[in-house]
Parts: sequence; structure tokens; C-alpha cells
Amino acid sequence: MTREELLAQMEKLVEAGDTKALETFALEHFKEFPEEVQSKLLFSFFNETLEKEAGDAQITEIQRQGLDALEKFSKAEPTQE
Amino acid sequence: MENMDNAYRMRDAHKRMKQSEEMVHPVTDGEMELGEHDRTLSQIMQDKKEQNRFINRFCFEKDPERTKEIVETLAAGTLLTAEQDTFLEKVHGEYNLRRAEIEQIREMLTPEEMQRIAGLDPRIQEVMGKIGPEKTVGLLGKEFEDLAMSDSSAFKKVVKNMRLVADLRSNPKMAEFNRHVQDTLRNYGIREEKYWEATVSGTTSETQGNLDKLVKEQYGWFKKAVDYVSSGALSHRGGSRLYKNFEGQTEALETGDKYLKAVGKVLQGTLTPGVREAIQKVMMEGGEVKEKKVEDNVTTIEEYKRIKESADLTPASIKSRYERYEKAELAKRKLSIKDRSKFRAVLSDIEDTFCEEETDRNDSRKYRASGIFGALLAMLFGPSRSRKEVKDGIKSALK
Repeated sequence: MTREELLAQMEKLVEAGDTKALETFALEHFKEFPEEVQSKLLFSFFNETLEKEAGDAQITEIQRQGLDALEKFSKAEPTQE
Repeated sequence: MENMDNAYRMRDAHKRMKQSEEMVHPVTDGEMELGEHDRTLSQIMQDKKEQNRFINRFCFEKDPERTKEIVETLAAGTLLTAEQDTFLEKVHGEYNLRRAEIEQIREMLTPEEMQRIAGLDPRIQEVMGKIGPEKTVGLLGKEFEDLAMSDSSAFKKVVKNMRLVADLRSNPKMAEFNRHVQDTLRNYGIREEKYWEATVSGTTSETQGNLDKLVKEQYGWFKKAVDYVSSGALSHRGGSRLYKNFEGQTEALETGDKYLKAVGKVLQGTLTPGVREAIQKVMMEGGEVKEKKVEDNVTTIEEYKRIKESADLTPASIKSRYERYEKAELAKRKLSIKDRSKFRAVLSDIEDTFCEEETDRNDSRKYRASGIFGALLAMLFGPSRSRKEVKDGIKSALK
């Protein structure tokens, strides 16, 4: 498909309001897109994956802090002066 | 004279020291050098490709209006003002640093690393299957470079995420934390599943809203608890101070109990998928790197349609938009459209402003699109054209 034909097909899916179908179409025809479009698509997939991984990393950091806090709470004993 | 030389030497040494302090690997914090990216402003300006990247991408993002003026000055072949010179000199240092950072990031994106990432996302796997790992790495590197040059805040956000992932991967113990949390909660007899289940079950926008609110509240307590233990309040001396009288003791126990529960609830939440997502959301909102607010974000079909309509450059569409624009502008000036031939100078002004505004709207650099919409916009705008080319096209459509 030419650039115009690809855009026209994508516009049809835009009109139908189907974002998921748009993504599937873009994946199926990936090699037909110009390079600058291919890199944008690929980067958006990469970024979503990275965000998910980074989210997991943040959760792990919370877990580390939480476990550390629990340990400190358990060791703390009231002491009289 | 000797004093002056000394002063210059000291200034340069100070500059180099400051530069080396700032030059750390964007992801690993290791050492980094500018290397071939240590270029003078004149070296950048003499290389057409480099000049284009520096002026039209990097400087434009920093200050679009000033950059437009600089482009016009350069096109007219006149001298830059002192203010323009200072701006370019300042931004060129940041540009060199950014170029070095991109190189470091590109080196991290090896075909092996891409294989690992592809294992996490079937879409990347599919793309790699079609074009191979080498080409995948090349495309990603190009896009990274584009982002680094034209959207600093988005670039910093991606880098921040890469740092988080690198930290996690450098500590294999952390990968086992889910199991560790489960065991610890069991040992402490903390069972908060019911607390979160009541909020998550049968997710509707209302329960989701409740969950977000609850997570925000609990995460706030969690942070206070972490600060509380790290402040030394539970240390021997701190404890002694806290527990020195009965009132202090009760207060401390109550506070400790409240904090302990908050920590337990949040830890349990990290093991519950819906809550886990809500915690991530709260953390993102309160993160250090704030995303730049851009009016022209494109994240929905409706936003795309709006841009498509205003960016339609067929002569008929331009004319139709101009007619509406002219009518509105004449009305603002309380002039009748019937007598339009009498106001040639006014019409010429209106036309100039219209062309300028239309050129801005057709500048793909002003839009920030995510996901599939980035690809759609790239298709819509096509290969990048200079502002002059776009403006000339608009002007000729009005003739």
C-alpha cells in the first residue's frame, strides 16, 4: 500500500473509533510504513513496556521500605529513662 | 594583563570542573565524557545537518519564539543580536551534553537488550520478527534521538524509568520481594486482603475512584511511617524521649500502631494487582519529573480529528478557514465585509497573521502524541518541511 492508501485505511478505523484495530492494522502493515512512522510506533510500544517495568521497580522499592519499617517497628521497645 | 589571564584560566578551570560534575551517565550515574560531542558553536553552525538539529529541534523546544527570530536572522544573512548570541551559546552546552547522553543510551539498546524487552511485549516481538533485532535497535535509537532533541521532559521521564529498571535489575534479591512480603505479613499476622478486596471487587468507575482515594490516603500514611522510622524516633534515645511519661507513651503507641497498620496495608496492596496499579499511579503523580503540560497533546481519536481538521492543507480548506477568519477579524475591528476592498492594509495584516497562525498549527513539533497517535500524526504531516515551505504553500492557496 502507498502512504496515502495506508493513511486512508487508518482514517477509516479512526472514524470507527477503534484504537485497538488501528494498532493491529499498524502492526500487520508495519513494513509498509515510512521509517519515521515505524520508529514512532516501535517507540510507543517500548515506552509502554518500560513504564510497566519501571512501575514494578517502584513497587519493589516500596516493598523494601515497608519491610525495613516493619523490622524497625518490631525491634522498637519502649524504654524508661 | 597577567591578572586577566589568571582570571580567564580560573574561569575556564571552574567551567570544566562544573561540566565534569554534570557529566554522568544518564542511567547508571557512571562516568561520561563529551568526546566527539564537545563541539564549539561555530562547528555546529558550519555543519548543515548538525545546525538543523540544533536550531530547529533543540533550540526550538527551549524557546520557539526566539528560535523563529534567529532562523529569520540567519535566513536574511544579517548579524545575530547579542541576546541571540548569548542564548545560542548557553543552549549549545546543553546540546552537547544531550548528544553525549543519547550516545550512552543508544549503546545500552543492544540487540540482546531488545530481545529481553521483546519477551515482555508481544507487539515488539512481532516487529522484531518482521524487521530483525538490528533494524529494531536502529529505529528505536533514532526515535530516542528525536525525543531527546525535541521534548526534554518526555526524554527525562523515559530516562528516569530506565534508571528505575536498571536499579531493579542490578539487585537480584529485589526480584524475590513479593514472596518476602507475603512471608513477612504472615509472620506478623497482618491480613489486609479483605480491606482491599472490598474496594476492588466488581470494579466500576466509582469503586476505582474509591480505590484511588484510599490508596492515596494509605500511601500518605505509609510515607509518614517510613519517615517516622528513619527519623530515629524508634531508636533507643528517641524512644526514651518518647516514652518518658505516660501520655507520651500512649501517644507513641497509638502513632506506632497507626503507622504499622498503614505499612501492612500498603505492603498487602503491593501483592494485589488492582491496588498495585493504583499505587503506581499515585507514585507517578507525585514523581519528581513532572510531564510538561502541552495544550496540543494527542491521546484520543477526538483530539486527532480536531488536529486533522485544522491541519488540512488542501487549498479549498485553507480558503474556507481564511474566509471565516477574515470575517471574524473584520467584525472585531467593526468593519463591514461589504466594504472589504477599502481596507487593503487591514486585510494584508489579517492575511499575514492568518498565515503565521496556520503555519504554527501545521508545525508537527508543537504536538505531543502518544501510542498509535504518534504514528498517525507522522502519517498526517508527512516528511518534515521547513516553516517557510509551509507558509509559502498557505500563501499561494489564498491567491
